[in-house]
Amino acid sequence: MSLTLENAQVDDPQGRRILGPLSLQLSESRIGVVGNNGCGKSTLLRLLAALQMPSQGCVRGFGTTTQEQGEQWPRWVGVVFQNTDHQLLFPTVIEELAFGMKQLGWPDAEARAQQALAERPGWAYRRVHELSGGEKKWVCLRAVLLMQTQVLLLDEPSSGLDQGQRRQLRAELAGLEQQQIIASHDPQDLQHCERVIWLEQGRVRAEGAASEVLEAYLDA
Amino acid sequence: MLSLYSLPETWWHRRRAGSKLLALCVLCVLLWWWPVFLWLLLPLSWAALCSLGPQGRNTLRWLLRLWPWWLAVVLWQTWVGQWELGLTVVARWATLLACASVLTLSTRLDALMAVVQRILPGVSGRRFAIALALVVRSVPQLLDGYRARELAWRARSLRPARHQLIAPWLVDTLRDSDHVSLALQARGGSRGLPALPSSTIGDN
Repeated sequence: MSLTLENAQVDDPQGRRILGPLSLQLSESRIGVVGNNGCGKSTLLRLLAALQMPSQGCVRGFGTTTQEQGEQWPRWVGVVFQNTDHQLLFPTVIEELAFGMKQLGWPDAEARAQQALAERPGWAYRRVHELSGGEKKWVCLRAVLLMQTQVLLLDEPSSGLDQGQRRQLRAELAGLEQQQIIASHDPQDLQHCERVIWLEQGRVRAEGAASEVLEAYLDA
Repeated sequence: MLSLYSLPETWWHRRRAGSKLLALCVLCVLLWWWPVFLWLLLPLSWAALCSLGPQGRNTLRWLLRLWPWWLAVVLWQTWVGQWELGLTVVARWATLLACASVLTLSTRLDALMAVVQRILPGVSGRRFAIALALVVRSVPQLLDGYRARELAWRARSLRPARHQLIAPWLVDTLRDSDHVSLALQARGGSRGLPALPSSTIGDN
């Protein structure tokens, strides 16, 4: 089951084109989206997460489109936002982890959240506000993973992390089964992707194997 | 939902949410009609707060930081010739705030919401609980944001900031709230996910 963009484009309220039109079939298990700031990476992720509707065209997946059933998208597509402070909604770690599962209607949400914290004793009632940047990122990722979505969208996953935390995060992501679509301007985040899409001014400038596209991006 | 709920578990945690809420209501009425009880209940309520462990003691410290406000009330009442009334009002506040803190620190938010829903059947406890949790989570973040701006100001200015930081801080707060609403939407929104139509292929 892959996500597909069909002539999808996004215009701002003044009618200026922000993204597209893009027609892409996103079927590989690891897809990278690279590009400079403002090229449309985050907008693309928001489209794929049904957090924004295309001005024209559509985003298709799971037997439907975001226009038809966008409110169901969180069942299938999880998002890890760039800024952890924007993503963390609740005061304590356990509430944050359990929330997504409660939204899915799972009765044992809190027990599952406790289980996920087995390797981090004493974390359940920690205030998210007091966590370090790396710890916040861990909570954000874990909260989305617990929802067991089929697709994981990651917006600049390594931003705000030190080298050790970046390595740890990449190792964790490499071990996951679900499809990942990673938007980053750090080529290191994308070197293991099967396919990399290079966006420039809202359009695809190049796409293909990670080594080729990333090299071209770095040379540009 | 936990929000202000704090551990370790104490005698207060094992009491039912409904009974604690009812006790708080009775106390409010009692202190209104028979303020003579205040001088007994004030130390008792503070002791109860301290018995909740570090979080309780922390909350009491926060309450004590309100002293300038309390002093202002007493001074005002003294000025209008009713210093006893000023003391009573302050003691009533201090007692009830301590009791309300005992309630919120020892009761899970969803348990409290269940009681509220029983009393007011039309109210969406879930949405109210999410809203309340968001407020609790946002306050320290907003304060941090303001402090960061203040530091940035001090680093480049010889005079302390007054009203100048309020407008940019508010604009940033509004922008942040947009991001937070997106994050909430990404996990099903405040109403939760609707039931999956049978025609849809994907499932979870």
